Amino acid sequence: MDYRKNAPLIAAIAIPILMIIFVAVAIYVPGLFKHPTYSFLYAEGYTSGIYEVKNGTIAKVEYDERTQNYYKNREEVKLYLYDVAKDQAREISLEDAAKLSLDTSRIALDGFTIAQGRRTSLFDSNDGRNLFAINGSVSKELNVGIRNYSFTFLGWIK
Amino acid sequence: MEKNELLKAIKYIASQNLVSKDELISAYDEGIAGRKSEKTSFDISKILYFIGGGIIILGIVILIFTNWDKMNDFGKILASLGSAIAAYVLGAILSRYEKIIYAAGQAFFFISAILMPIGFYVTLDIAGLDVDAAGVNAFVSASLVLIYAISYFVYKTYLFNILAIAFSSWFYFSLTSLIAGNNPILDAEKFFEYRTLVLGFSFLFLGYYYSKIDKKVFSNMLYAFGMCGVFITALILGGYKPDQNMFWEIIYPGLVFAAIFISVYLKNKIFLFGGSIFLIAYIIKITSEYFSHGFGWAFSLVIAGLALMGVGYLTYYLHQKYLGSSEL
Repeated sequence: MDYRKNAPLIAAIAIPILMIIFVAVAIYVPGLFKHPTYSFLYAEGYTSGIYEVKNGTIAKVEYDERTQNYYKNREEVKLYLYDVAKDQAREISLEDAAKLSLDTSRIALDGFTIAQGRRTSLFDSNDGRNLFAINGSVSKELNVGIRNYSFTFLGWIK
Repeated sequence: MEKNELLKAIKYIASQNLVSKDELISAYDEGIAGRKSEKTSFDISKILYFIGGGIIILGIVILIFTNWDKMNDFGKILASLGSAIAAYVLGAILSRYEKIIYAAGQAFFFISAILMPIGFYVTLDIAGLDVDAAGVNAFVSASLVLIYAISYFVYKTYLFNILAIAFSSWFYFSLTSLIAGNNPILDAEKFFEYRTLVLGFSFLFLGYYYSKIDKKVFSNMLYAFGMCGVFITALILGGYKPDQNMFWEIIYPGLVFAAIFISVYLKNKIFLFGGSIFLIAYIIKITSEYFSHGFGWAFSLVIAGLALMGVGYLTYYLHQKYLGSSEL
């Protein structure tokens, strides 16, 4: 093989391959050395007007009958506890969730925050079904699937 | 008859005064005209084949969409992927012949290339996969790269080379999207721009490779796409006041002058005209971004106009001095 003659061809193929490797390294390598350490409570669906966290405890919002009628047709909201040690989420009842002590800060003490993935097409970008724990340039995809794209972070477990 | 024998025969009949110089020249001209008319009719046939191919594609797409609800799954796959495979097979059969029929074969390969991705998507959609997902796109594009790369090595047709490059570019975008996996730390717009920039550089190198193996038209096509990829994204990456990116705004003129320098080095007009057009775009952008508020629009237009005249003269000067005799 004449390497001198084929050098531009080799460069043309190598440049996109290097970009692919660069993207993979930039996405996955920082996450190998830093891990989220706090579990958290979240809801699928919009909790506004249904649940509220007061003094670190979740509770159902009590409304008069008219307001309750306004909210009653909304999609059911489910509560989930994400366990960082097992990297999995499980559905929990309001009674169990009310026993947890929550920190509602967006950023946990270990520096991580929770963000929804993006669904990007050619023309727009929307919230995705997956969740990420993010700390600076570190991002770790969590083993969680958001069924209906709507996610509400409720608090870190103290 | 060998060329030397032919020339010897011409010398002999000239020495015997059997044929005059004018008769020889007119015979030569007639021969050239005959070859040109044959070539012209061949080119027209090729154009008609490809226009016909485009109409066939349109017909099949309309057929699929208007009858989508009436067709069962097998019918949908047959109409899309089946048509693509049938067009490919027909192309392969016709490519065994020469010239005019060979060109018809190329048109059928072209039809197949347009229908093949549609066929893949319809089949995978029926199989229950999310066809918007990056993984599905990566699979479809990788399959098409494989099909057309193998086809190129079998048929040695440059149409397959173009298709392999186009589908490889798609594979590159979908694979990087798959790796990024909807990660929210990435700015989707910037991510797309940087990937396009990198692909543009890759096209420029590929164009240079094809210029070295004497595929000038192919090479110039890649140069044009590569320059658009690099310069349009570099201009967008520069942003606009107050969100401008100084790195790209400063480096951009350097890239443009590098392109103009390369045009002289390679004796290639695509680099010269492309560099000039993108320099004009940069001057207009910078003038409106930084000078339109301070000096006002009227004075800014005078500055931009003078700068454009300068670019025009530079382009003319370089073209006359270094590229006057080059083909492109």
